[in-house]
Amino acid sequence: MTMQRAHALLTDDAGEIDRRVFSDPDLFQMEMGKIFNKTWLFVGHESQIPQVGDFIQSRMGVDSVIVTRDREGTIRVLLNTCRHRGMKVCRYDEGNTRLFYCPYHAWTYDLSGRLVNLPHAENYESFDKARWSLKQAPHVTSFRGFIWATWDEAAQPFEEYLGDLRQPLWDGLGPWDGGDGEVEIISGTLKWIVPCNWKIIAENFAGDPLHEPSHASVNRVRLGPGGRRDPLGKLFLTHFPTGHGFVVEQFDPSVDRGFYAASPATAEYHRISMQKRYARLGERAGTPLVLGTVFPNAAIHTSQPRTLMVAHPLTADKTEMWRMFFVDKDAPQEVKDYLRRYYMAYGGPGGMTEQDDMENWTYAFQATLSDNCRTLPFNYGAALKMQPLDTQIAGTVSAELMSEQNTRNYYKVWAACMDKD
Amino acid sequence: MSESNSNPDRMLTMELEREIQQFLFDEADAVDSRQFERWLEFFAEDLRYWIPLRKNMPGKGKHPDVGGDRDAAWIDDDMETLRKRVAQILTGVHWAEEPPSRVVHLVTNIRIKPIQDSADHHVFSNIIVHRNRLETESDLIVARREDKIRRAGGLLKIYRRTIYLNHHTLTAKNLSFFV
Ligand code: FES
Ligand SMILES: [Fe+2]
Repeated sequence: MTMQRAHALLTDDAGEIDRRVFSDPDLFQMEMGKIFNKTWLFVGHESQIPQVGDFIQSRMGVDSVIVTRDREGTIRVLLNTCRHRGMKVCRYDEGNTRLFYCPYHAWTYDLSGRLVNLPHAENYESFDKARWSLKQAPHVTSFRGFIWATWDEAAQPFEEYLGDLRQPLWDGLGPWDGGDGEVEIISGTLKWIVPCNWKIIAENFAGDPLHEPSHASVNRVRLGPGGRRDPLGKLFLTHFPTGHGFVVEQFDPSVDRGFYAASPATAEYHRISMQKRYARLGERAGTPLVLGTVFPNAAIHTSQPRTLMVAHPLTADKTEMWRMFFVDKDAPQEVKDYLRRYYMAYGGPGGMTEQDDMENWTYAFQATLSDNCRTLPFNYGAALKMQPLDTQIAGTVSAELMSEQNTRNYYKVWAACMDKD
Repeated sequence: MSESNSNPDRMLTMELEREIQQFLFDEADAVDSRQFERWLEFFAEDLRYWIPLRKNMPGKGKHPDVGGDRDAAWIDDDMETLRKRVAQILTGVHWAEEPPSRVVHLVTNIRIKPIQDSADHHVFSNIIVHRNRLETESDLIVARREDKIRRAGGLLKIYRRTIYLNHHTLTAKNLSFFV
């Protein structure tokens, strides 16, 4: 394996990408070490584990992890494998507990992952329990309630990893009114398996405005007056040196846009919230994120709908998608109910928007498997020579919306991770 | 998934039992033969068509293994959304169903209970839904189903459909077909 192996698969400034990037099992194995064991990964939200003893089962790359709130209230991310002989110590999706009891030989761990009990302890010579804790992510952080973890002891802090994305993402993950309140995950995570490589999914959300034809049918049927949503302002693509890519919109925040007209209660709540948001954030309220991917695999829609997707890799040819929806914690119940149903009609395997994405990803992926198909690179060349726009919007902004700059950047960062020693 | 709100005192006539069974078989036939406009006629305007998530929870205890009323679900449609799904398929550019999938519903284990203090019926069934798409892409969905059915203007209508999938993590890449 040469030092520049991954970079060699990107040509013409990543305007052309070798199809093996999506299907080579060796590259996939490398990704697990060089990307999923190195970068920050989304694992859950604080609203899913509000009390001491609460836990959820989550994933980091191919691994099952448990996200807990321990007796000190600290959030822990534990590798879900018994230190004795590997059995999963937690097989419930969620709950509240004091201990994780391994069903194989009964080694038992506390909420911080410490081994607290094992049968026949007297038969081990000078057994040091402290050496046999569950493996724990060395860095865990909560960013406005959204929990991220990394396996890399030497990882840069999460906010540095976000870079200039920090402020717009902070604004995007808070309540509509721009205040210090919270959002909450609507209980329940949609989990389903898509037969394609995880990056085909992640790159799509990083900013692929050219894939609009995928959604012709939902736009025609109209989930909202603008097609599948309310009409958006002027759109831009922006990307960041650590691989994140987002779509940003620009509009006049002093003017009410009349969103959510189909639900008067939601429309009213939104209108009042947006007024407060403008009062608090000023012009920043007029350039919110719409959607994007936090490298490598967490895709967030921050405006409409409000939802978070993680593309968990299973094998080079299989991905487990997880999707959850979030709303303002303090929104009236009627508003939460309306938004929940709208979000679900939009996204997830039953979502009228996302269904068509899965069809395209599945069959595009199939054509990365044969030697014959692999002689043909994928094309990411839209607006290849575009000059970045000078604007207040954070990141490197494309003057041309119909550009593949975000996806090119995504793969350049992917290659840099892969070629790093 | 309880059947306790039935009234054992109200007897079902054989004719009614046959009629409701026939109604469910006709409904399955309408959707499987892609007569979607006809299929919509089987549902009432106040419909809730709900497919909750399934969860891995302790078998003992008070935690349901089914997503709650206000939780995220696979599908939670009213009549308006269901009509949009049909309209989406009929656009001809709904790529997930174009070319069309082939879908077959098997409806079995039908049990009919009168709903107390009303003329409506609670109908329990088990379903197997098979989808084949393009060449070999195939999905098999197995579920327990509960329908609430009433008679309106002489016609039977489903006003509440709940489908408890037997699946936790879906292995179907999408639910662009009607379960
Ligand atoms: S594998 Fe867990 S106790 Fe043996
Ligand atoms: Fe899409």
